[in-house]
Amino acid sequence: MEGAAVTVGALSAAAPPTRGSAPVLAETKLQIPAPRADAVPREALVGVLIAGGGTRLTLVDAPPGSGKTSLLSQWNADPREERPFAWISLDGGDNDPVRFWDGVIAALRTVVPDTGADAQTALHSPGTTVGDHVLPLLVNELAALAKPLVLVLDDYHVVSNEALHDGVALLIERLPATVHLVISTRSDPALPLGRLRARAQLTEIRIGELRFSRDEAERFLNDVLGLDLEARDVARLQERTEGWVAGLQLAGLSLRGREDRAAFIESFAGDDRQIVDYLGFEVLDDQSQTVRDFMLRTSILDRLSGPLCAHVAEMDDAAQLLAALEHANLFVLALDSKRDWYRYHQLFAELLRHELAQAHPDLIPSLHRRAAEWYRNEGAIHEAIEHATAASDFAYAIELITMHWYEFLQRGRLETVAGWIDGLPASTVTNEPNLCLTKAWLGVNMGRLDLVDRWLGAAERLAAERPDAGQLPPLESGIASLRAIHRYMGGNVGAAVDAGRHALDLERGGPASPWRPVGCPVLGLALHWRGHADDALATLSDAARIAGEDGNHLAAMHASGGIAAIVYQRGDLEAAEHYAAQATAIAHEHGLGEHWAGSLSAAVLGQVLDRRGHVDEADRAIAHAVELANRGVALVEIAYGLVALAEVRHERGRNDEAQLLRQRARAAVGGCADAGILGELMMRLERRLAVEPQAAPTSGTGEPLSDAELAVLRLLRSDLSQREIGAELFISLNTVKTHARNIYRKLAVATRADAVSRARDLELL
Amino acid sequence: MTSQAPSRRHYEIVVGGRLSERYGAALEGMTLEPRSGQTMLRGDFADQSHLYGMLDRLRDFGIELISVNAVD
Repeated sequence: MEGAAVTVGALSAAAPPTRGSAPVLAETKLQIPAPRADAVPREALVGVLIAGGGTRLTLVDAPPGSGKTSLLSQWNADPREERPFAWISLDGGDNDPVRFWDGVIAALRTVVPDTGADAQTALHSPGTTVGDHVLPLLVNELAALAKPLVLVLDDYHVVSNEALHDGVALLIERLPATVHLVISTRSDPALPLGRLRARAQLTEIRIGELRFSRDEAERFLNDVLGLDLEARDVARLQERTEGWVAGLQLAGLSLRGREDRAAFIESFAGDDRQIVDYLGFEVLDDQSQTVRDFMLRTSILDRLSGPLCAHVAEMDDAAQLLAALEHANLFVLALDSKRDWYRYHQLFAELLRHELAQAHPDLIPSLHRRAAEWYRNEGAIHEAIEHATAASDFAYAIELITMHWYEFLQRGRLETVAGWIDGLPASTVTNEPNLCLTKAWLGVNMGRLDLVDRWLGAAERLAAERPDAGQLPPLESGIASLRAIHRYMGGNVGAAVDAGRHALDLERGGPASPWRPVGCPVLGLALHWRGHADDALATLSDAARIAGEDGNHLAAMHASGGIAAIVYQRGDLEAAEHYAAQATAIAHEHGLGEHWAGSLSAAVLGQVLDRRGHVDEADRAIAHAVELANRGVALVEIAYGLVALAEVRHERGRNDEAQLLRQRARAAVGGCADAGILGELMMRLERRLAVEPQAAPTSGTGEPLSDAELAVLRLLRSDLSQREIGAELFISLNTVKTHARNIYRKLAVATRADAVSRARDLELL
Repeated sequence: MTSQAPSRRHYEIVVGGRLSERYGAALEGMTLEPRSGQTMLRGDFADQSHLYGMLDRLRDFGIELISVNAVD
């Protein structure tokens, strides 16, 4: 998301807050692992962690098997710690920034219900960035928390996406005192740790601190594993493993039920083999055939549940086996208090997978295939696709992607879908028209019209060669709809009309298709800009109805905005206001307020207000319309907003600004192959601006207000708090305060009310 | 970063502890040479990403990394 271009969700569909299709699975990521009742207490370290709450970040950074997660869960359960924990266990799929930040917000909601709603809306709105929009909203909300909390990002080492590191670094930088961040990882994350260390804002727990002392080793081996070893033996094991918890556990398990303990310890202590190598196989080989088979077959799974394991391993008593493994301390951790979900300790999982690859390489594809089936039946499509790909069952993966990419894109999960396709062999992708279409749609959503063109071309060629290929979603109308969108975005409204009509012809009489609500508004809007107002009105009315029935709120909002623009053009202010308000209502109801597809209705509403003499509100609405339009790539809509804003600024005597806006509008119109009626609107604006003289705004001290200050000034009239003004403008509270101070100084006033009244006198408002 | 050498490059990676053939087989394409208390792993890597992938893998197995050298 960070730095990512723009998205064209308007032409896709609604973006409701993401909810994994398998809620049970998703919730296990947010569960705080409960410490084992018999865990070795680490009071001193927990004390350090509690005291470290005064710093900004706690880093628990050590190799696998060092007891990181166990320590954090003890911290959470410690009665001395009063703050509640928001917890997320990260996995590879979280490299999709939308999934990552959704997960963080979901974790926060386990502590503060309903928090982060605005941030989530911004996250799902195309064209916004995490740094500029999502985080400021989230941080503002967190700063206002009544009680402090601890946010834990467990297994952070899986994060490799640099945009995510940037986002987390920014979060740390702006973290309010109400939140303490904890990162647990196997290696130092790409975050500015040096700076935090220098400012004493970092608490670090590393392998040196996590090692079990001799006393702790004794407690672990004798109390937890019940071995009853002599002090001398404990000391030897502690020395040999250097207090590494996983090593001690392996040693303890190897000793269980052994007659010749002393000899075993002797030979282990004197041996220079790598510990997991030496002991892991020892433990594995000690298990019964059933247990060993079960562990090997389920090692391909990131998370384990009874039913999933039963299906994958083809063993009916999977649930009992899992419980037994946990009880026997065999590196199985429960993920939830009901013990529905478990996972293997990562170190042991590696060993099992390796052993599976050595012993039964032929089994692996069928195990993944069965996992894919199970997840699919549970509606966990992402996991199903990952396992199908791991099984090299590309036909199955393609079938799943083709059926489900659309709903994932609707939820803003661009990188997840891109990741699925990247996981397939390149030749598979270029030979599959539906995947080419998906790639093209990804291009639309990234604002990369060149990619759209390339992949659409490939889809068209393949469709021509294989007319019967791919039915879900319908290929032909998909291609035509995307072609219409491509032309519309690129500023060729005439060609967009042709493609849109073709798409609609293909849809007619066919079964309900997701392309209908997508293609219809584009055709209507293109018709409008082309100057076919009657046709446009009929098409957009259809589009609004279909989109409404289909629950495609974005398409409905966009269509209403289009209708508003048409009736405004005809001079019917009342109807224009009605339809613009309808679009706004849809935006509010479905959290689409930051989406660029709302630009059109905002621009119309602003112009209506202007015609009624409410110049300030008009300016605000249209400035917002321009800001939204810039997040999209539809050139005609950008130009439309700029023209309207230039006119209002001109009316207000801010001619320099109007001229600048006119130039930008001209450039946008010039970039269109066929801008339709916008050419006339543009010429009208130019005639107007060339005639009238200019008058620049001045302030009390004669020093002009900057644009940013004017923006703040406009909101000072409202009853919004300074914090709320910051949220509105996506700037920090401190920035608002600075602007306000400058405004007061320049206007030579001391209070907010005086500033507003002085600004009115000076006609700045 | 001087990543992505044009052709495959040979590396010697020394890790702590002796590794058995059974365990070492997980480190695909590497040959193992036991030394006293250590193991020398040798192998060709297509590029830096390939090498980093192997280092991550060693970390995930809980193996101590001692040295990494490119051999021309």
